[in-house]
Amino acid sequence: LAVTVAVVGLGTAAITLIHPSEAAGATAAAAVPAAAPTTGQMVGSAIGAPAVSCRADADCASPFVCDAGTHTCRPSRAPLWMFWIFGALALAGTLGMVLSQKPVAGVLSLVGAFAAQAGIYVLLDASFLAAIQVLVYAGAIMVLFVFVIMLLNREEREDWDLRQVGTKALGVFAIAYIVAYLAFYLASSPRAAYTVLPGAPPDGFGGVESVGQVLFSGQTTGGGMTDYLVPFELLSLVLLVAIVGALVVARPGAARRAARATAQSAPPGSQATSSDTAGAATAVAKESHG
Amino acid sequence: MIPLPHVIVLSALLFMLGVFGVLLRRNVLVLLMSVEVQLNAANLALIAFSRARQDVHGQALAFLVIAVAAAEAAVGLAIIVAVFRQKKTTDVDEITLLKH
Repeated sequence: LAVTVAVVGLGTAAITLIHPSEAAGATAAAAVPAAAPTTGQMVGSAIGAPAVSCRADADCASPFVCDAGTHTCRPSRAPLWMFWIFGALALAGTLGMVLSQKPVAGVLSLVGAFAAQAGIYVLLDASFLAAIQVLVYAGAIMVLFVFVIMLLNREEREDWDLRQVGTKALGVFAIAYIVAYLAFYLASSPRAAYTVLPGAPPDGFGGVESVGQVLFSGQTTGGGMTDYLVPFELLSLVLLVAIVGALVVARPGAARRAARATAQSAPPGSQATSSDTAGAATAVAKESHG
Repeated sequence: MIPLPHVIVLSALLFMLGVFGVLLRRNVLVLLMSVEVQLNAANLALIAFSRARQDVHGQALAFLVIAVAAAEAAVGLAIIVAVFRQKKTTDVDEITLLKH
């Protein structure tokens, strides 16, 4: 719960931070067109920042701020801080889920982690996917998990014993391998690789319109109408099959029939153990109606 | 504005936590949630590359991944409910119907 509250607060803070700076940057670019590094935006600070002298932040274009020491325009580091704050929240929420003893607490911390990831998507200019992330992941899928946990109504404490030493050793080894590989990769790649900044995307990048155009019309590659049309239609089929399959698999009658089959094959004395009376009764009522 | 390696490192860390959950936990609900975390980490990498290359195709792919993840969660949870009716447990070590 604390993670969720923190994410919501940070999200509003990020929106209030981002919007005034965009407005200020737009006016600055309009006021000082010569100082706006329009062609130099692909260039990072380490490879050589655009040699624009400035006195205040207002002298530079939107993502750039004035460096106090060198009086040149350098990229603002505020989005990077924001990114790692959201990233830390996402990592903390995921870690809370993995280590949680109670499934409900795990689901709630994972909702916070997914909301933090939606914040990262906004920072990466994927506003449509951020909305989808909140609606589908943090909303629908996690609510489904909560439903199932409440339905099962099972407080199962999982002890961290060493019953499966092999699997756990494999997990620890996998994590250690990835950490070592990442550390090696970060240590060996040149310093400039971290500071190369992608240029500013075109207007509306990652919005509903641009994603929809790629999904449905394929205009960006000139591939005609078929870029993602077939995958998209197949996806609707996948969702339909998932709905029908979930209904068929989780139907009470299926368990009852399976219980009857085991009861028939088993000796008659063990019959009463596997059939729960209330569920079987409602299943019979439903099936006689159907 | 955010350098690409930072995003990739975060994505790898999140994926790693998902692997951690799948390999080390025994509650089948936590396992399924860990798989969702892995799919999400892959989405993060897709969106980061899409932003760096200024190509919306990565976001379209992430959109498809989200839809498939929703279908996977629905079917997986249905299977969990069905198995729970039969075995009265959510411990994956106890679910050995196909083993014998």
